Amino acid sequence: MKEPAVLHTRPDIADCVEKWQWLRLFWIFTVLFISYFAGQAQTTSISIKASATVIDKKEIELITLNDLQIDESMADNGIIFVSSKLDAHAGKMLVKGRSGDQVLLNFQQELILYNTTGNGTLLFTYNICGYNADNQRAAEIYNTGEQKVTLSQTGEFYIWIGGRIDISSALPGHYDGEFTIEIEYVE
Amino acid sequence: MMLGFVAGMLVTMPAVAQRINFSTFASDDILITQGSVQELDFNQKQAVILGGSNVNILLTDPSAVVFAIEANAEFDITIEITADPWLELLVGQSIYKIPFTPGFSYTNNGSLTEAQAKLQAVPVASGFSGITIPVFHRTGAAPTPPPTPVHAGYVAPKSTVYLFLYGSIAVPLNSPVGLYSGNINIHVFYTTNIQ
Repeated sequence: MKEPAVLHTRPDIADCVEKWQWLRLFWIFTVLFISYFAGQAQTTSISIKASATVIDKKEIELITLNDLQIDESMADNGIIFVSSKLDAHAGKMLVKGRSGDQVLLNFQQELILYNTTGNGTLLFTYNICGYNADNQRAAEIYNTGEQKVTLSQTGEFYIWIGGRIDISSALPGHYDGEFTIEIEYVE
Repeated sequence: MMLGFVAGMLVTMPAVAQRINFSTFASDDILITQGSVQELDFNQKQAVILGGSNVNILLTDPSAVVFAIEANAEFDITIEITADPWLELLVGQSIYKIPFTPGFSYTNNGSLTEAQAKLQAVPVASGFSGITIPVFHRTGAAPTPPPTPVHAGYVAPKSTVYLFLYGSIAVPLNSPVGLYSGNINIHVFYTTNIQ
């Protein structure tokens, strides 16, 4: 019995073209896929705030910029002296108000410091200077507890606070005190 | 067979535009570090701000905000900055506005420090909210051929672009007192030519 003939046909041209187009589309999508995710990975964002505080012409503020720093290691024969005009350890305050106006400063010249960790007190004598710009060396020293000053064109006035204290008889401990200054517009 | 596949891929790829699509090649992240100034605070420039006053923070002012953008030195990046043209104060149900004009400059010459970069910063003309620049300044005018592809053992060179942010406000005369604020958004990405 004759075996049935096996027909070998040449590959169908239309089939090859169709498969080639599918393969081409596969590559296109693969490249686009990779490009899409590669492009998305390297982005960075950040957000910051811009701000401005507007005040009323009549308002006046007093801001402490630096505290007066006094340490036992600064003593010379039991006396600690911080120059308000020359010393970097001096306290610093900023008066903010209406540009060009005059203000009256009232401040204490002596203060009792109390030992917060034990017994004893110390007497602190202040020395104050001030200037209408942030320039300590140019500041004027004030010898009384009341001083009239003029704010700068930007409504500012800087005050530096130094002082003198005798710790030769002080008991060990941490002494604390608060410097008070009052400011008011001069009409 | 393989050659046929490769040839087929090259034939079917769309023609590449003149500008290189850097995002395709990039595998490194972009790192933005903010300097010590965290906020564009106009009170840092002028402590007392009254109604009717104008305050300008310049590039050279310490109150200008600085960003260090570290990225692949061989690529281009696009920096987009968006901000409302005003700072707002909400009082009850009412919103009051202070006109705000941001400005920015950049340095992409590989400066090692913020101070050095500030001296050589290039200001961006007003009206533009985005720039596309090389991470490291190139002397040639046209983009160079595709950068070194990422491969095993290769460490891409990095460089830092410094971005400086500043601006000005014009406070209307009868502005209510209070804190006016707004947000500035900065978006950085490797440059792409995909529209």
